[in-house]
Amino acid sequence: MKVFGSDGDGQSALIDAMLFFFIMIIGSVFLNVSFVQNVERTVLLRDDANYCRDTLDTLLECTIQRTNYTKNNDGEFVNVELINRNVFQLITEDLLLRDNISRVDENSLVMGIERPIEYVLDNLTSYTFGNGSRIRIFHYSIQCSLGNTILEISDIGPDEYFKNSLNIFTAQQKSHSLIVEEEIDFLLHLWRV
Amino acid sequence: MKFNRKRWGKEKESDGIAGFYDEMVVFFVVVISLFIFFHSAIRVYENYGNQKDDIGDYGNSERIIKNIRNSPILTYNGRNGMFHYQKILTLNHENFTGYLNTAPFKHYNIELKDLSNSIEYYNLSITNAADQKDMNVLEHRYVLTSPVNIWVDEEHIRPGQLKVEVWS
Repeated sequence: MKVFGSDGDGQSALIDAMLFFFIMIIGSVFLNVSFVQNVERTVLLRDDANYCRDTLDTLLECTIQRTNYTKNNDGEFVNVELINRNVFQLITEDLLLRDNISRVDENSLVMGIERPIEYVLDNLTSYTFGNGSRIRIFHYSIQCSLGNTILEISDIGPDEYFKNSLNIFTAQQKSHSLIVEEEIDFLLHLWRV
Repeated sequence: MKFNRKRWGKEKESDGIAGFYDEMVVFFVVVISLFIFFHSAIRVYENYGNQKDDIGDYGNSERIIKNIRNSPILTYNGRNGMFHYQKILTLNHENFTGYLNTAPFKHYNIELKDLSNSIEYYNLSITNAADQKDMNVLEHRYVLTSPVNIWVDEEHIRPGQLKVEVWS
């Protein structure tokens, strides 16, 4: 350009053009990143929300063949076996016993009732292959409450739970228990591994 | 007055042409910027179109899994997600196809896994894929899973997992 005797005045337009160029580049990157990801996320979220709701329904309906706990009858320990009870009944029983915890061995509740429920939840929130191997799809936490008594069963600790608080799916169900004539609140949270 | 070509040419050379070449560079920068922007906008639009189709197909696969969960050929007393164990044992590709409309997908593979801790399991696996070549198609393949119950009697209701794969 110097061949034609150009002075510096014309270069201001070039600076404007460069600015325009960078704005266009930023605009292009923004379009590519934000727009496409939003569509993918919508699909995933809908699927996970359905899965969460169906997991709670399935869990409460299914029965566990054998569960037990140890009752404390004024110093005399008696093993109580619960045969083919569904999870809803087991949780109700667990909450009632926890309401009067002095009459029961708490560790026996954890090992005898809550662990088998945890096992069912582990299966429902994992994917099992044909050869029997399993991969976990979701972490879970279920909170059940009857009056002031709360029972929480989770596959990980509360710290991990709050770390993932952005993508948590929740299903809630209130069921009337004929044993206690009260409503029991079930709150299930699922989030992807 | 005599026309002085040389003098007129010099004036043109020092101002007009210099300005023109300055603007040419600016012009190219603007054209390249616009080209990049519109190119990426078109690509995003194409991606959106493809993804919209995927979402449509995904919606169809969702409809299929909902239909299976409610299908009278599998459910106990028509209860959503509660499958009768005898119906699981007797179900095959022929009687299943009559009830289930898998359009727009050509092929399906349905698996039900009994997740209970029992000796006897009520598992199910049916497909209309003729051979391994059909089974190995990966494009436009949708896989959905759903937790279900397997009803044996009122005292034995097992947890299970339904997996539906559909593809064209």
